[in-house]
Amino acid sequence: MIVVEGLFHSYTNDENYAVSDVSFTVGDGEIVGFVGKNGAGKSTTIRAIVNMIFPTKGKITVNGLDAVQNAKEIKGFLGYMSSDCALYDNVTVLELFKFCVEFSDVKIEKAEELAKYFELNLDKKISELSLGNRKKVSIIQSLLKDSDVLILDEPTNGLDPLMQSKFFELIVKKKEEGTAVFLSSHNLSEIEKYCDKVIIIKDGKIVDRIDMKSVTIKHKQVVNYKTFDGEQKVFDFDGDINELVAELSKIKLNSLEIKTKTVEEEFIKYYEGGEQR
Amino acid sequence: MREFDIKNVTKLTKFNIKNNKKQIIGWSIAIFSIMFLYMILFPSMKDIAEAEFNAMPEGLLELFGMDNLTSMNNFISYFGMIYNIILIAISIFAATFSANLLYKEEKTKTIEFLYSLKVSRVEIYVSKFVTAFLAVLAVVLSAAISTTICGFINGGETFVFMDFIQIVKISSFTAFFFMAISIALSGISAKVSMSAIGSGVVLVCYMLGFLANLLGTRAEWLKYLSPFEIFSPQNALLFDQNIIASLMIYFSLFVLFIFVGGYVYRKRDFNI
Repeated sequence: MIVVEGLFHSYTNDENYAVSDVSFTVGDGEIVGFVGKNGAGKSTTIRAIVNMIFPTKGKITVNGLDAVQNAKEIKGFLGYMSSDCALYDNVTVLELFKFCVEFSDVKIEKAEELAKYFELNLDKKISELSLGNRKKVSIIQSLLKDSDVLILDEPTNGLDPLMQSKFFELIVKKKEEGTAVFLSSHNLSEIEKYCDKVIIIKDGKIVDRIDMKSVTIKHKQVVNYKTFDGEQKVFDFDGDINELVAELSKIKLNSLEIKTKTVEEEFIKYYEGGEQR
Repeated sequence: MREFDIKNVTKLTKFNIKNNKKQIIGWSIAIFSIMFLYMILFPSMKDIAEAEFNAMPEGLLELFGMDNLTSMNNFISYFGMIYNIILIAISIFAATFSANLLYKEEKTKTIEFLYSLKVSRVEIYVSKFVTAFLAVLAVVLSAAISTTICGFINGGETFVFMDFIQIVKISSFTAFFFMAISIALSGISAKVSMSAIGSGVVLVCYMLGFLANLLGTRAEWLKYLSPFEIFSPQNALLFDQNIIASLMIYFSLFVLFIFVGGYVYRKRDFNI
């Protein structure tokens, strides 16, 4: 379980903060998505959890342990994948995995199994890998430990759809085993599909929290019609559908489309800088 | 949980060496070759240099520490003269290599991978220190081995092995000192390239020694600010109270730099 309480981090001074008053919980057996524009504060929050940076204010605990005081101990049961996939170019994939398993109780066979699953050539040098394959290396590295907590920063960016699906198969399995999964992504459809909760961050502050099990979208329908005069209107509608139909029947319509709004479309407004809930 | 585990430091050091072996081997071979080239030519250099030096003003020779012409007749003195120059190159290697060990991890963001493993910041820092120490040692040893071979080939009676070891031990400390400065600087901050700053410190220290020679007794104190001057091969052979005191002061600074760098590294944000 990850508990973040009142996280504030500033690289310069109190006015120019990267994140401010960020609080949330990621429970065991839960996948929590972290959504926001580039520079919104996602990576800063994640890096504070894994002790790459220190909170200026606030407290972070992972499975009850303080993220600053017990950073090394936490990494014994925390798998982390950064968004950059920066790896050592001079070694082969196998050498890198051998180095990783030296710091855990896991055997190299697990890395070999995962490499087979993700169709990754272990004998290739890191410098020879494409972005997608580097991503696979980072994913495998983060999944190598028997983790209670997984923190994944844009994990599927650069992966082909088949690998994305294979990746989420594993993540869902980890969730079912009780792992707390915290992942940031710009891929809103995967957030909608796999996450139990979604936290939306904007300009360093959390602006929304959505429980995907009881999700309520403010504007349920998107209405798009065109009249014979060439007039076209597109608007969100969340009232009684019968009233809408009655109103529309008064107009001579050339075409009409009423579409149920997806959560993905709802998220987009935070990227566009639109209204807040 | 302990923040420092020697096993982790060993694993990290091995990995660091593996990642940087090309640079370490390259520098060792280069220094070995340069030293070999100079030292194997000792018999012929002795005659040529004597004639050349006779034609040069005494003040200029003094400035470059070459005023003692007997140095060209003695293998150890000749080695001291050459090693004093080679030490600048070794010190620049020590400064740039050491600084890059920590700086590059943050610049290329590989620190995010490394620090995701079950290791502490102290273990990473100490492993970088040990790696830098071993790399500088490898380069110093390559110079020493090269000279030893030449000493047995053409040093004759003037190749006094214990004197040679004394110079290597004392004068080489200069390179290790610059290594410590660079490690400390990159531990303190990774916002600017510490390899450039480390190299700058090496050159400034060398220039201070040069200036101390140029100004003579008017600014003799300047030589104490330059490890190149204070731990020069001539002074290493003398090994008087001054050198012993300087060694103690510089060694204390060496330890202080390493500790300060490590302390800040434990507490600061990674620059990623």
